[in-house]
Amino acid sequence: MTSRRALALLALLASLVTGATVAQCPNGGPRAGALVQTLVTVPGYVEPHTPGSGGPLEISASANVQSLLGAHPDLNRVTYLRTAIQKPSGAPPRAILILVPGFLGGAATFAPLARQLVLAFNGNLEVWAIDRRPNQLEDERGARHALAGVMAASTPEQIFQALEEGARFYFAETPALDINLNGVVDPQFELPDANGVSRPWVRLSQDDMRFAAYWGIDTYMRDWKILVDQARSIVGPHGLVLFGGHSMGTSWASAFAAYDFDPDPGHVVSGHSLIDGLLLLEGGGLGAGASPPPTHDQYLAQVASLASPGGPDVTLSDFQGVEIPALGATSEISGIAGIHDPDAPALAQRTPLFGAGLLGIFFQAPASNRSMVGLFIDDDFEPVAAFRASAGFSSNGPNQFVAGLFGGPPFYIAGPSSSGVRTWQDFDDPDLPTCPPNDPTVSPGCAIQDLGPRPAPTDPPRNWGVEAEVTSLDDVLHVQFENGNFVEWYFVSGRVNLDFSYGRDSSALGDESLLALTQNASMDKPVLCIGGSHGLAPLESSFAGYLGSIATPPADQEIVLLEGYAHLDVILAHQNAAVPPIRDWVSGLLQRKLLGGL
Amino acid sequence: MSLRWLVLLGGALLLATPARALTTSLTLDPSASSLLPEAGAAEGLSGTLTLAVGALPVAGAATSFDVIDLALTAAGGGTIGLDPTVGAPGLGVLHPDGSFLIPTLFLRLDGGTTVPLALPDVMGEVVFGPGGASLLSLATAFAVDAGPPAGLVSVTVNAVVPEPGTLGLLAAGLATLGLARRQLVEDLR
Repeated sequence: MTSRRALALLALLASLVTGATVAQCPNGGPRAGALVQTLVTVPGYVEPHTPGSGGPLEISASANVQSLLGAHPDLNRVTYLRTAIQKPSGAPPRAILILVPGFLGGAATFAPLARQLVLAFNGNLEVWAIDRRPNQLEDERGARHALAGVMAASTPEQIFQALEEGARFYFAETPALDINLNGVVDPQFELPDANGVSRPWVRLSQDDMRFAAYWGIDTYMRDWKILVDQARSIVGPHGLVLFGGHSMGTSWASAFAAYDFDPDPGHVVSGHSLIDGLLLLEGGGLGAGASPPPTHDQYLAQVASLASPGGPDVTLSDFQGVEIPALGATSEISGIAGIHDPDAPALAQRTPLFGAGLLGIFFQAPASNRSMVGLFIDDDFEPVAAFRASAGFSSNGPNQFVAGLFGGPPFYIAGPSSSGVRTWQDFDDPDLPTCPPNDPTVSPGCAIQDLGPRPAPTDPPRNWGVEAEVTSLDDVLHVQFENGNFVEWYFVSGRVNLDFSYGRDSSALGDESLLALTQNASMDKPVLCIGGSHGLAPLESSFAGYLGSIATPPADQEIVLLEGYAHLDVILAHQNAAVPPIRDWVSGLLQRKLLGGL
Repeated sequence: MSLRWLVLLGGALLLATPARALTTSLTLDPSASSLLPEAGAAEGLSGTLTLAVGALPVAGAATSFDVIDLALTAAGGGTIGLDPTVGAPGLGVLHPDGSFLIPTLFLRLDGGTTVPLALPDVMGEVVFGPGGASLLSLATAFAVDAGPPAGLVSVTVNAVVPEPGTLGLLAAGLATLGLARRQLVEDLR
């Protein structure tokens, strides 16, 4: 005999089979909210020698630092560029990817890639691109003045004035460098500093930054752990916190995974235990280091020397003859000029950096504001592989083939155009010259060249494949001055180089209060490596050293090589081929995380 | 047959059935599946979807739950499919209580123009078959902000496995409802 309760149960089951109802919540859509990119600054690790730390070891801020940041600056801060889409439901993202820029790179280097990744996940992934500590010491008053001026301008003359004032803020005119083209050697342009005093560019000296003797790997790792902890609190235990970097940023990122955050030698809190995966973009991660590494006494002596006035450089003054702070300032002004006065004669060529010296030789052909930046960053004209993107070409003048410089790849020196300034053909121009039929050594040469078949995975790294033109010059121009900026003006090299000399394991130092790179061998999280075949990590072998040093099983070591991509294309490309593999990797990891498998 | 006996039998079946991976296709019920624009008339939705489930019955916390094929057509002619550029566009998890979560469902909409669309946090429910060893149906609902003129489009999906067992269960349910109604009428008389 069937009871009424059984009848009701069967009826309910039948109704479920024919159509259950589920509460509807807005999930998303193509217009489900604006993507935002915001610079966020939060309290960082309190390094005790740093201005603002408040302890007995604090080194007072110099007058120049106070001019930049006020009388009582706190430099123990960590800044990141947050790229996000607010979900319609208000729910937090399920994954946050934290990225470290490469050599001389600011957070804005990741802006194009971050936009594409966040859009690909429609807000379920956020990207946090780190601006390393020294970025807060960049005097951006001149660039901000120029940008505000061009935004408010209603005539070409006003735009020109805003730009030349911005340039003159940073650089003094000389008889040969007439920035504002008025035939007179004008004084530097001045703007009020943080204390209300009108001054031109406050360019920090090495002695202004002696506290950076204490900005080594330990300080950076502890800064970034704050971000990792914050990200974890947002995504929760079932969400993903991923860490990665580009170029030298891969060394930083793998150092984070290898770091022991507990200074007690008997207890370990490894960086890799705090993250769910590691992303290496165009860089092979931590290297093997020096042999033999510095002893403990040598280490302490070097730190003391770095901290002493008149001591060795704490930041990188120049790279292959190019002054880094000047490059940073010029790139900001050039980016603004390239967007807001693109066809005018290049302002940068009337500054000391590009109007004289080594770069004055390479960039002697009169160019427009826009094409100047193209000539500097494009892989066909830029001598340094680490600064290259595939952004198009310039063919309205002779191009002198150079077989290479400082052991670098071949490049062209653009000569003067008989038709005026050198102009720029964008990456999507259908008429970009190709070799063949062109001869790469004969002007105008070519934008697109086939470097041959893909070598075997175990071959020594070398470039291969057909060059891809993928990066928009407009994107390059924007990242020079938006969302932070492109160049890190004061790259801390003294302490950092000392720390990196230990490679993947600083156990030999024997002092985890100074440096605790001790957990690389136990790093077992999934790793995705992406290289560009025209970049610095063109083959599987580019990643082999690092991947062979960690405990991640081979099934969780994935390598993707993007044919034709140059070093910066992997982060700057307009429709970036790195996005699909990252999207698939993140999506797969998220499922595994939800299933408890990570 | 008493209710207690039914419950015991179900529990025994659950214990006796070894967990196994399952691939199953479901067909939308057009009368219970729709697109409802914020501005405009509702459209019926028909089509099929195929799931790959890691292990049934679900033991422990959860098992993998992947939408591996999706072909939906609205009455107005628009289509919804998986984004073919994504390696695994429908990765999710299925919980023992029948609830599922697809953290991000990568779709491709085609209503004249093709639009890739990532849908965060797609949630729904499935109904397990006897012993939890199969799936009988799936229900989910989500909303897509399509912008003007449609605005927020509410999508409701109710799909069933078109198998004889399912049909039999459906018939049993309907017959039971009829029997209950007849008994109720007789009681009232």
